Amino acid sequence: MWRVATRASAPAPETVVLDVPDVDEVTLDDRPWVVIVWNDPINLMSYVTFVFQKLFGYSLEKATDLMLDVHHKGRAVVASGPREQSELHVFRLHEHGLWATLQHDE
Amino acid sequence: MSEPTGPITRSRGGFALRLAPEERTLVGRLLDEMRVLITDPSPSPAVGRLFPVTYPDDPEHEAEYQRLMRDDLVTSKVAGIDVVTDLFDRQGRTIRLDDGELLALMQALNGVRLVLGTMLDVGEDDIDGVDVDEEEEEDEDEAEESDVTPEHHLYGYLSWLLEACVQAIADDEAP
Repeated sequence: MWRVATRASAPAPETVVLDVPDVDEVTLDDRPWVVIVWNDPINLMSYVTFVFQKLFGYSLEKATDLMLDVHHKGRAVVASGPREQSELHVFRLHEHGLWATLQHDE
Repeated sequence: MSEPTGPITRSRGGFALRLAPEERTLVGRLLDEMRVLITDPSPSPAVGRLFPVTYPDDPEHEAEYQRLMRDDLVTSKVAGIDVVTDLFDRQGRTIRLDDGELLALMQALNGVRLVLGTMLDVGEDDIDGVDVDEEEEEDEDEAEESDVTPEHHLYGYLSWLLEACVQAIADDEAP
């Protein structure tokens, strides 16, 4: 955690205090994970939209936007969070036949 | 009042599935074949699409994930297939489904589509799994060579049936 404080008092120069993070406190697995769904030529657009609504509780509008992102851009981030929760999302997506993967948030 | 048409419609708080006996036989057989494929200890590449890699950039996490989750995914898919094949054993032209059974049907149909589509190597814009861009077929001989096979028809039929399921559920959830 970085903290910067300044004290200015004329004519003395400003004093800057920095807290340097302890690297041991930060583990890579604490970084959020993102669930990515990839485009494929087999899944129906309507079915993908339905799956997004069902698994994530998204509105029809949001689910459709996500599906179109997958369709036009080749992939889309559909959820993010801790690793265990993200793995569960991927599992459910695989149960429905979607092509989903996990990676650290970039 | 006219009766609802189509293979699957909303009915009495659930859904009604209407398949001709030969359709039930066909889809049932496909599901039986898929059950065998996905429970094979040495799965064929055709089912690869049903079990995607989860951590493409992280072999260690991937190995751990598959060790923990692969069997559960197989079990889940087989359980879904079993729900559907049990449904098809029910008597009568119309099969009544609840939400869970319709969902199992959708997942099973999509599973068969994924396997079949992979084998047929269907493309993004193909309908029924066949390239419909006839404008590119300048050569008449070329057109004859791209005959639609029974498997392509089957793929198209399964897509039509799955789409009908999605529309039925969407109708159910519409305000």
